[in-house]
Amino acid sequence: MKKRFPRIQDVVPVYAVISFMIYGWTFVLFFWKLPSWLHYMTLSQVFGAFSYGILTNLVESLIVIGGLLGLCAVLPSRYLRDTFVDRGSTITIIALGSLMLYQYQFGGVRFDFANDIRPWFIATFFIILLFVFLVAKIRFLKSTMLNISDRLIIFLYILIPLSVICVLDVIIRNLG
Amino acid sequence: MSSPISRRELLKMLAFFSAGAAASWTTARFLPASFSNPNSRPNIIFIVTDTTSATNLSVYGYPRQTTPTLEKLAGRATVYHSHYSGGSFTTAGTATLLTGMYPWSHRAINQMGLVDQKIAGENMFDLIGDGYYRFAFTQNMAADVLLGQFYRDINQHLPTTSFSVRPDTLMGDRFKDTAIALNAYDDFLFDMKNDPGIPGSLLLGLAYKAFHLRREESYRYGYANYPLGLPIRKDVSLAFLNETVYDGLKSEVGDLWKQHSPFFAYFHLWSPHEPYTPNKAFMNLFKKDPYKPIDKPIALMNSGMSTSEINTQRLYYDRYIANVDDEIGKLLDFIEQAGLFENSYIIYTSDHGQMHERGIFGHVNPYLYEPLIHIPLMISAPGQNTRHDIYTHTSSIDVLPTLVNIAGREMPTEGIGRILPDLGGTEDDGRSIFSVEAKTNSAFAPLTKTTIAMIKGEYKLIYYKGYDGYDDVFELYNLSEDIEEMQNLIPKNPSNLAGLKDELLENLALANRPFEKKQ
Repeated sequence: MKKRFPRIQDVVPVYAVISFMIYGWTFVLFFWKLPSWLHYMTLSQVFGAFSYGILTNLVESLIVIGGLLGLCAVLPSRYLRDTFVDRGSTITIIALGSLMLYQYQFGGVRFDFANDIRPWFIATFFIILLFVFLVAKIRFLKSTMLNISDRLIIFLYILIPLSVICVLDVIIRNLG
Repeated sequence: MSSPISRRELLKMLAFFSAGAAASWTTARFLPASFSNPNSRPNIIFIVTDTTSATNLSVYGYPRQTTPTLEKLAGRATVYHSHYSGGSFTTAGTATLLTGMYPWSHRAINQMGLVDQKIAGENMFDLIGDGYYRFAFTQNMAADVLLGQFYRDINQHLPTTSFSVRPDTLMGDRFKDTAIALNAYDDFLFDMKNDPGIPGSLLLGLAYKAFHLRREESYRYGYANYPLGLPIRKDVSLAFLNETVYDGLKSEVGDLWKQHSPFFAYFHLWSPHEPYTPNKAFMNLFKKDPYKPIDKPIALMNSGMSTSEINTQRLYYDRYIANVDDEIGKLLDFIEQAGLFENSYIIYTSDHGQMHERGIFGHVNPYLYEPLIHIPLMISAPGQNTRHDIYTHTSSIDVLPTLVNIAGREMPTEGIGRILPDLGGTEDDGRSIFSVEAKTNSAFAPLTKTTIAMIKGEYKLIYYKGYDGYDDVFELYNLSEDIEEMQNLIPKNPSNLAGLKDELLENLALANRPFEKKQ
């Protein structure tokens, strides 16, 4: 079973890409909200709201990496496990990038939302398939993915300790 | 030596004391404190129905009989005929009500905005004081975040999802740290609003939205009593039945009365906010009535709907108001049966109105015409059994000082709000009342994209500033002759404008001053 999963040193760069995108999205929107919150909330309250955000990001990033590892377990190893860093990063960047674009373009509540989203993600799925194929064929694309994922590891040194602090903050806030 | 009291007398005394002790125990056990303590303060039951324009209520002279219950209540209440909201949507209107300040002072001017932290401490719940058990419930998320801001001053704050068909919808409610969790999840990470509607959580925010909307849609229909679908809170798309909500209020009032007198209960209900979904009994109301709304010129920044479509929405709105009025009637019947009219103030008002004219539907627009800011206010004092009518202009900023006065306390600082006439205040026909709309203006900057209405004497001056194609424009109406605001007096007689214009601009400059210094 262990052979079906990539090595930990291959998982870390992909997790770094996932974390960078998921935490980054929340940070951008948090800093967009911050001036307003500072006007209405105390610093402790603002940090509380931030902690819930980071806790949620931690859960999200674990879901995504868990999903990719699940794919590794299911697919033949040559499809994903053996090229986990470049293909995993490609899948992550396109999938999460597509989510970002969708949220940015079509935010807001509409009742046909769930139906609207279907064609968008079918298209995203095919783009992922295309790039997963291309990343194995085009050296430049592969090296770009490897470089990006490698360089983003640095952010884990900030994001992981921050996540621990924020999880503790949420626990303390909800004690008693 | 004979005994000072005979055996018979001793038995009589024992029986008397036993009966007395039993009676006092029963009184203390089953009757609220206010009944057993004649010196205690009256209870205050404060009912706010969202989006209720006085211009559509028969109790204020609307031709369709939309409010038979409120007409009945008016027979034992003071009816304020010229009462104005400080803002034209929930955040601005409710914050004005709860702080006694105009939006340009409390700064909750954006959708889902909050009150300036520096003044949030002096809110309705704080100022009424801990001599009262303070209870709050609202179905409107925009009002609930304000209550969350005042959580230290509220003894019991019911979750905004209470009495809903599926009360497990909001994430923030699942945490003990509700005030911050609501802000973090329901206003940020899982943002379900229309504008901007971008969740701060990339993955779970989107998944939550898709799952929630699909589930909500699936169970909204299928109720025989609601052929148009269940009433739904547009802010978080949460379905509910009005009868369940009002039954819940009865239960809460009953509990408060038994356990916490004197109490102050703030109820802020979603209906008759759109979408208008009356139950079956009200679906065909006014179908054949002869009433035809007056045709008014189409406004520049209209909703893009035809007059016929707008009039259809008005008809639905009127039906829905009648439905809500019926539910209010059941609540008032309960209050009557409980005897609470004798020792309680019953206050009925709204946070803002609603437009169904000039091509404009709803209340998210830059206008401040009468349907948007003329709101109902009726107050029944303890034991009141006659109707009093007040025609002088009053504002929602006056409600807070009035309640503070009722609670036997004083306002910490002298604000611009006044104690309402007939409840300790006096009528002042020369007073100026303001309404402020600035949804898209930054809350931390001077108001440069805004609409201000000033009502003074018989005149209403409206000032539009910063809108594309409608900048620095004034409209002036004589409300005593032209309540429908059809004749803009400025082109005919610009001299009418001079004094009013100066006063309005002076007040705006005064409100902007602290923010100009910061820049």
